[in-house]
Amino acid sequence: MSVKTLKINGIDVAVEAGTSILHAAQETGIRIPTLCHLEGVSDVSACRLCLVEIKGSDRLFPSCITEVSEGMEVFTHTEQLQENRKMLVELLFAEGNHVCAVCVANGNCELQDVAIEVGMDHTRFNYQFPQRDVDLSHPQFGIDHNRCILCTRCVRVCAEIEGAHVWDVAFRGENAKIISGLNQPWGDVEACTSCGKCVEACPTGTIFRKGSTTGEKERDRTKVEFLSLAREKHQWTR
Amino acid sequence: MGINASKYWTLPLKGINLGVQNTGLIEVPMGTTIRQIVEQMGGGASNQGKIKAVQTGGPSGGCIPENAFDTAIDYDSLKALGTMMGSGGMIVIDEETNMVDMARFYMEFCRDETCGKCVPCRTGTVQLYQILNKIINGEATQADLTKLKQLSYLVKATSLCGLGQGAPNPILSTLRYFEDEYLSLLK
Ligand code: SF4
Ligand code: SF4
Ligand code: SF4
Ligand code: FES
Repeated sequence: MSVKTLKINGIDVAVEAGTSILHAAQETGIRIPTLCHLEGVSDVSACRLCLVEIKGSDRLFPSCITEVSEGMEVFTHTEQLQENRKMLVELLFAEGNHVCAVCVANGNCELQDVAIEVGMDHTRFNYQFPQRDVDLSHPQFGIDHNRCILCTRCVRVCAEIEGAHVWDVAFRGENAKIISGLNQPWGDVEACTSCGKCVEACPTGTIFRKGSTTGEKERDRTKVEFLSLAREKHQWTR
Repeated sequence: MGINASKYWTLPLKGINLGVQNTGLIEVPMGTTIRQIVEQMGGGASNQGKIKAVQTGGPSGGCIPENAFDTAIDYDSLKALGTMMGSGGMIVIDEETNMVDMARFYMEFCRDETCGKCVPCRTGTVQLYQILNKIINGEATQADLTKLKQLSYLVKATSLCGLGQGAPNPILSTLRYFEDEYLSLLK
């Protein structure tokens, strides 16, 4: 095992080669905000919250997909980075229809958590109030697109872990939308095994268990991690 | 015979509103000045108009004001002026054109072309377009202009690919050379 040594926020760190900056920071006890990253599935570097500065470059680097290298000096929480993160979260709140008071994920939502973490208390941007629908055709689950931040965690967990590939992204730009099957009602998609992994993976209240009401969507991190890492770690019980 | 791209620049020359007299595809050696292209090859302003700027590099490029027309064109000199060679296009802009309107035109293009994968480009281009609209409609204040600058920086610095990284360039470069046109539209 080859080891790389680097500095994160001035702290000396030694980690295995190939480790992402995000994981190296975690090992150092530094939490970098993320939304699209999910342990156990591939990274897409889409939310841009995890961007960090690296000495010697005027570009910013997504820490979820950037590997450490020898002698690297990383800064994770400069004033500018914090301001960027705040603006990104503000943009997300302005883009969808987030009415936390009536949301299944209220109090248990990663978008809320990140907003609190970056100190966002209002959005300076225009609320878009997009027209989005709710699909309740699946017997056990529902999806409310009003709360979707297009992180594609559902897409990846379903394709890469469950192997069902029910979800995809359709359309582009502001009209981009998560679709099930060939843009069919979720309940009509025979590939869905009703495993519930997408419910666990979704950081917001978009995908939920039917019958849960305001604030009832519980998020058990260990469960998601078990679902996504069990195969790698040979933890399946049968 | 191949053309050495580092020595020659083939460009489509166009004009907004009236722009220049001669438009079309021309090929010039690197080092030609913008003035030579606009006044000699383009034939200068059509219809008594006065030329105030050129836009190079397409929707991700930027504008060059008339007082910098004696710059000899190459990759570095354009970069120093805050624009780029990009697609190689040159659009000649006369005084009839409002620069804020031009920035809005390009932002509309980027808003429609963004794929939607990353947050700053997907949502930022929509918001930038709306702020520009507000300015043009005479409904914006100094606070909106500040927001426009902050968001332009964010989209440029944090977007995943070249489309988002370049999308705010027309705003940033028109702000750099023609901020007065923005200010005169504020209420
Ligand atoms: S997903 Fe629900 S709880 Fe989370 S921010 Fe949106 S509305 Fe609020
Ligand atoms: S329940 Fe399982 S199979 Fe069905 S869409 Fe979600 S992750 Fe895919
Ligand atoms: S449904 Fe949930 S997991 Fe899927 S893209 Fe939307 S917010 Fe992300
Ligand atoms: S976690 Fe790295 S870009 Fe989203």
